[in-house]
Amino acid sequence: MIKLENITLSYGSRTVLRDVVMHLGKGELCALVGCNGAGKSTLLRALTSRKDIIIDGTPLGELTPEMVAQSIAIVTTERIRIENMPVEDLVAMGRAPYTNWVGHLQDVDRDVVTSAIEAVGLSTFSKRDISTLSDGELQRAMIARAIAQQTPIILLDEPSAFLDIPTRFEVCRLLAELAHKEGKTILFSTHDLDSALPVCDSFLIIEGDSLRKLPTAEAKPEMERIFR
Amino acid sequence: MKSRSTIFFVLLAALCAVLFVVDIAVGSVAIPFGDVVDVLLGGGTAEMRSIVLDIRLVRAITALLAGAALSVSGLEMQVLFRNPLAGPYVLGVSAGASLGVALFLLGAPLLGVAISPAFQSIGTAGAAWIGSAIVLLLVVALSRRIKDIMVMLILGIMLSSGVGAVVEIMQYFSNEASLKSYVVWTMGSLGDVTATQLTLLAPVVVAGLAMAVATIKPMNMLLAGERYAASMGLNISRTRTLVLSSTTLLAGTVTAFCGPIGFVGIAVPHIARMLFRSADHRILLPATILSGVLMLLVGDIVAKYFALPINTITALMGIPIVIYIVTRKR
Repeated sequence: MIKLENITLSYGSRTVLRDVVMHLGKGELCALVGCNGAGKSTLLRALTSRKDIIIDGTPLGELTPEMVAQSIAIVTTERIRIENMPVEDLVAMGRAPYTNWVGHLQDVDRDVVTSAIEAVGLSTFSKRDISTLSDGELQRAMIARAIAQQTPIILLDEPSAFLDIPTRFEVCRLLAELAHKEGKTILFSTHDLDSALPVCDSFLIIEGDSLRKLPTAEAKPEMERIFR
Repeated sequence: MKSRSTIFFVLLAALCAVLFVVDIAVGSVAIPFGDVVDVLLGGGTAEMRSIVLDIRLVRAITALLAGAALSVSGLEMQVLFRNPLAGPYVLGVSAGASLGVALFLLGAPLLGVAISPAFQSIGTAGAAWIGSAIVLLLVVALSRRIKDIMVMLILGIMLSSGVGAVVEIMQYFSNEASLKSYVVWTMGSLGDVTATQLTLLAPVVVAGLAMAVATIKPMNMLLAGERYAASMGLNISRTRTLVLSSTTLLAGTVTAFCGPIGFVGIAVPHIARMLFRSADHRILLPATILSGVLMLLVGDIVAKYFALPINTITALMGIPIVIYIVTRKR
């Protein structure tokens, strides 16, 4: 689904990751782990911007911005603040790659938005102003926006940061459901191994300037060695 | 919420229509309201027709265009810079215009070039437009290189202060007559626009508004920030160019013809947001246009009634709103 071949990533003048080779399959839920500053965000950013990333067999550089927007959705760490915006409008933003020049929603779009809100369990909140949501609710709304974008790939940068422990598990379970039931390829960076270990299929581990992908069973002892 | 928008749209449009007629009815020469309506419907004496149509109607249309243009450029800037205090002037539009006008009105006499009175008005407008266009072209060019939108905002403020300093030097060395024409220009005026100038002002403002309509969807996407907007397929640099060009046409042209009219661009979009309680620019753009028209019509009526410059009135109307905005949430 998403493939990197011998890619070297730098942040400014510093080389963060060298000769990265990696492949994520359809329906795979994968957690990206590494210390602060190891290059997790840089890698996630690169996955949506570098021309030599291969998406479903095609290099990113050969896709139009609209096609990229229909392939990859993102959830960033930025806590967005918009006044006077109900949850359903925020989620409807995800339809932007499909709507006309003025962003008119058709019935199909509205159905997609409704079911995306349902999937993250915010149905009773759909008319609520997003400025009144808790961190966890807002994070779920942002994930719903990514779902409404109907992309085969979703990338999330630390989706469980700022969340309390029960909500972290809840978000991870939600991601697992999307990957395993809907067949989406999901990669998320995290520091919270406790909530990621029970649900992830694999882990991408950044150590120094190298990136390794391991299935969860093998990743666990490795991560204990590195991080504890 | 749909019904709320509809009610406010009808209300605002009706108010604009009423105030437009009131604006035409008010003036230094007392003309009974019935006669004004008579002229507007095609009757009246030649003298009355000349006052009402050539002077007052032109002025009211200028107020309408200026209100729409300044407030829409403010709306666009606030979204692009994700800053509630952004406005066309923060980016240096008025600074560029001021420099152009200062060079024309103050600089030319200093160099011994005499400006004929006939050429002064259109020359001032031309100098202001060139000044603001150069500043915005500079901003567009810089915005392609500088990724951080906050840096752009700071550059705009620095540019304004720098231009202010240069203008002050020129003022210091200028004679009284040219100094006065410059100061009068900075006070702003809706009454100096002639019918001929209006035929230039109107199509440019309409073009700028049409470009703003084309940025409705990009503006909605930009609410979530540039990174999200780009991930949803938005071409960020094209959007920036479109928004900044639209702003140049709108704010630059109005400033050129009417002088720097402050606080409309900053305050009006917030009035629209408060009234319509929406973040959707399909609602906010027309709401901002109507609110802006309303603000300048009210401003112009007050200006005529007390014989005050328009800039002081929009400042007195706009400043409380801006203070309310910055103190409300903290």
